[in-house]
Amino acid sequence: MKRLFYCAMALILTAGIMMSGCGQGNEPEEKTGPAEEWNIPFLIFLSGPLAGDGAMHKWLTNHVVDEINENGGFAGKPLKIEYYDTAMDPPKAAASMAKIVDAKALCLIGPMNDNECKAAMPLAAREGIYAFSGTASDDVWKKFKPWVLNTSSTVEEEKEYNVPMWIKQVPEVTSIVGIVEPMYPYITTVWEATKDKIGEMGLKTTGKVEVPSGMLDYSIIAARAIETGADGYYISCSEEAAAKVVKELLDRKVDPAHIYLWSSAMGATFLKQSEGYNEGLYTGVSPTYTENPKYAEYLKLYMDTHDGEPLKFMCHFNAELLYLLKEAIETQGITGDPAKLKEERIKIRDYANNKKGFQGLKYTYDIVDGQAVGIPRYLYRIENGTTVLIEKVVPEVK
Amino acid sequence: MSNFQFYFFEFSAIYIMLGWAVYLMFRINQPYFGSLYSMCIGAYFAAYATINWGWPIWLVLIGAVAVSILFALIPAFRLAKLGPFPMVIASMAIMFIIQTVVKNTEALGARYGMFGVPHLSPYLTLSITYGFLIFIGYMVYHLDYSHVGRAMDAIHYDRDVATTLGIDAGKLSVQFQLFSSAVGGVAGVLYAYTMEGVFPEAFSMNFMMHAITIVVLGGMFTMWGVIISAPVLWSINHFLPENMTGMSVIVYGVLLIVMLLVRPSGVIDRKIVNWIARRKR
Repeated sequence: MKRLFYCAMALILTAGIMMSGCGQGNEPEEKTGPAEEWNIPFLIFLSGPLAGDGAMHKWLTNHVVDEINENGGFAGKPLKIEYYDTAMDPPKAAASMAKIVDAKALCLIGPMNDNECKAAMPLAAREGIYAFSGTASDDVWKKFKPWVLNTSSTVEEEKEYNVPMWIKQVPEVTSIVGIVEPMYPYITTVWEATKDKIGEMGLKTTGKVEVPSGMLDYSIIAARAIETGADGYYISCSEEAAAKVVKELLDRKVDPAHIYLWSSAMGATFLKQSEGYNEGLYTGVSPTYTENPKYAEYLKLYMDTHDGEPLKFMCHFNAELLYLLKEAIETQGITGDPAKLKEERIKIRDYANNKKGFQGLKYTYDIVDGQAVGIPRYLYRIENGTTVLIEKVVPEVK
Repeated sequence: MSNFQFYFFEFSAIYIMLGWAVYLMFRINQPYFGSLYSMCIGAYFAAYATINWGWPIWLVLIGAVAVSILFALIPAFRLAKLGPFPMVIASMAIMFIIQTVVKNTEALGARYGMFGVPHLSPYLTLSITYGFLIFIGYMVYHLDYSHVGRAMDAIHYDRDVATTLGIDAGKLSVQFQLFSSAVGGVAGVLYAYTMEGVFPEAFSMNFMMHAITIVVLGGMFTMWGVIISAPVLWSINHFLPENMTGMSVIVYGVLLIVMLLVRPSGVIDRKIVNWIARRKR
């Protein structure tokens, strides 16, 4: 037995040494000169709990890539996206980022979710590879700037517009309770900031009711929220949970106009699961509303091929960054030459981090120091099972 | 060495360590997951001590092991008396408590975690990791193939009978809980150095499920199975063809179900170990 132990340990060590050596001898000969094709990695969750969302992102990205290639690619050369799965697992996200670094990528699209970012960005920042992440959250951006771009709203803009726009429609609301499912840290951060804003508006916050993931019965959540004495309900949980919580609230005679759904709670799944009892609710996002005809076309195509189900509202965030990358490559004279890799990575970073009037798939916004600002804010009311625009505000960029 | 090879070997070793920590407690029929929350404690300790106090890794490792053992000691004597099911519930509850405390402690970065753990060279990190792996493997081996191992078997089959044979099951459970937690602490430190930071979501239920799967798939009755199952499970996602990556969870689940149906004792069971040992002789 002792011999078996020593043999096994020797085997582990030998395997380790052999495998660690394989990378050195077998590395492909490094190409020099301008790139023939742009291979851009996309760090994305294609398996795991959000695989369905990942598939939507992939669908839209592939269509944007086709559109870009039909129009000459990047600087006349074709674009190819290579997907790297994170499975929403931090070690896998870090290992996938390691593969991207090993491939000497010019930059990457993603990571998508803030947990993936936390796992993958330390390596990316250390290696100096820029991440076009639409959905990193501004807290991740603060930690890893200037190596990450975040084009989702800042906490500041979320706080300044969501609840005030809703309260303008329902001025009779005087106290608000948060029904929050902490699926990822950004949700809680936005709620904490919103609480401050509610106070500044002279209204009262009656507390936070936390929604545990995967509950079977949500009546207790609704009952606890009502018990706080609030007359306004701010819901930021998953769509599935939100549909159940809303039903329980309405069963207890809560006025639907007094319910506000934050972006995590609103989408096609919510609308489907809350069918028959979502009339009159307010929300800041819409799965179907868009002012951009190009995005409307994509949306229609997706709905036509997916039983009428729309894309999630966040899908545009990462795919549209390919247009920004195209601009960066074409205006900065990026060649994709491995010999200029470091210098070209920095050129792309500097261009993308400060861009005025970037036309995304849904709206136009500015990017300042790698953070999108001036993203239009919307308020919708649900009418006949669909979202109707009530108000649009474009935040002033300071 | 490529970056990917580094992550592959580093996490394979961390998962083997965790697998062994869980395996030991499985052997005495107490599915205790203290090693997982100890890993969280170890990782946070490493992040805090390196970022705020500038401790070197060797000191961090000693500190993390000490803190993990101390934390494990608090409930250890009560947990030692529990049967398998209450043990699972209790250790899961402790895991949630620790996660909640971490998420709400500003000094530990609260929901966002702590970043800025110094980057060590891959060779140094792997040397430390594999040094510990061999040391822990040696310890587990000696526990497994000694009178303690026979006591473990007796407890596994019937705790009451084992007690009548003079085996102090409670004492053994406490010792194993502390050992598992120390291993968890070491794994946590290595995790924090590898990821250059730590955040609460890193130690979720998924992580626990992964550790259980490693042991169930590898083999619950020998320490050897973990050495195969940990790297195999960890690499499934990375070596599947690109168009099949979305299927990795299904592959994972199917493997587990097939294994439970066909070989409930895991890939490497005692028969295989004995057969190899006989052939060696």
